[in-house]
Amino acid sequence: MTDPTVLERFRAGDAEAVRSVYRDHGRAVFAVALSALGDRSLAEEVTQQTFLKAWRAADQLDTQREVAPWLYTIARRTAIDVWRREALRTAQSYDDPDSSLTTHPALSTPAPSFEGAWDAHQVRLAVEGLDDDERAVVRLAHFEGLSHAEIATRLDLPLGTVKSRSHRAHRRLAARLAYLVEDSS
Amino acid sequence: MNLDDFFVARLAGELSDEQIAAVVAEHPEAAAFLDRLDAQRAALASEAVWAEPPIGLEDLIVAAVADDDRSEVVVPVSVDGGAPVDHSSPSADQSETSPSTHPPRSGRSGRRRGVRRRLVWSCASAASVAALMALVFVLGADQGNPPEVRVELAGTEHAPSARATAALHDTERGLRIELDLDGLVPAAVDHHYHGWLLVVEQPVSIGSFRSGEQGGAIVLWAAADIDDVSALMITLEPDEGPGSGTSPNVLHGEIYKD
Repeated sequence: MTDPTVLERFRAGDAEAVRSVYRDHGRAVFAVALSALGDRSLAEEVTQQTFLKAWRAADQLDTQREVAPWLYTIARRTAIDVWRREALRTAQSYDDPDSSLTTHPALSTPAPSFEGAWDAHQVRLAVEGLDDDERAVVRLAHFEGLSHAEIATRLDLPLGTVKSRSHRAHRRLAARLAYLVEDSS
Repeated sequence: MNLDDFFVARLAGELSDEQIAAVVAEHPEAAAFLDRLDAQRAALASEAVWAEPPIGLEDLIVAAVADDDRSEVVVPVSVDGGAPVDHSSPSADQSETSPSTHPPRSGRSGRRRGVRRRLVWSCASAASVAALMALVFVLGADQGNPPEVRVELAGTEHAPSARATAALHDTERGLRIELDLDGLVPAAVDHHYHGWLLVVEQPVSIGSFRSGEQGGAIVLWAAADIDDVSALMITLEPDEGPGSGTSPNVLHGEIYKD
């Protein structure tokens, strides 16, 4: 997905190459972090740390291979690190007799769940490959749960246009994600 | 229906249970794909797939790597400012990493290096926040240190026992804000605290944090010119909201300059 020449620049220390890699993979990394931790501010931190770690480990990058699984692995480990830190702080706060956490349990830190993180990562990458109009229809259908008729009203489009866009988008998504399905068999 | 069409239709949620059963009867191998297709559909319906990272995160990351010599060990540190779990290399610079929605500036080296130490008067704001008392020092760079502005923040009626001291450092990477909190209880469930600078009368996000009682300074960053900053405030924001700077202030401090 990312141009190998960009990855070569990334590996060679061109900071601007990070921008290209981020644009290709930043949302997918963010999706992993948010899926795992369920917290936007922590997901932002994980995303930032992931790219900084990737930058520092760029000599391990095989530029002839897809970079997404490598970034996913770094993001996963980083999310675990961030969760451990948050859990430690919560535990310390509960040990503090003056802590108000008993009345303000906002710092509860459920363990990260990576059950859906890989799917979120791969689906986000696949969604990024859609055209903007296709992506809008898919978002409204799946995330907002709208019917084709409701999407047509929302976007002020003919119903037939929505149906054809939806079919085209899902065909592209299915093609992009087919290897995951086939692997599962 | 062939398997390719089955994948598409199932992903789109267009098949009834009866239709699925018919396909599985015709293609028994399709049964093995159902769980994976359902997982993909679940992902498509999740916030994680559709949530957008902050616009400024890209610039922040690029600036961070540009400023990085690749030899440092990444120590995860949250905006809460507490001790990192990984103690392998907790240097001060590495501990400064914090999420922000605004990029640091560039090309500002030495711009205010010659600012001499001076004391700027403190005063209470007449109209805005009654509890506000801001004691501001602009400290110069007598020994080559970057200029610094210190701000005292007072709790508002939403957090009357809270107070904080903020030190604003003008660095080459942007405006570094060290926030030392006292008496600010952890945010309620599904809420977080958010820092804002008032820059030319517009709120500028400087990042969020969840707790104020863990000790240690919270480090936040902003892409603002220190001369344009007139106030620093902390709001309590719902986790679900985008953050607008219009939520109730819990801490507020104004910066007075002569």
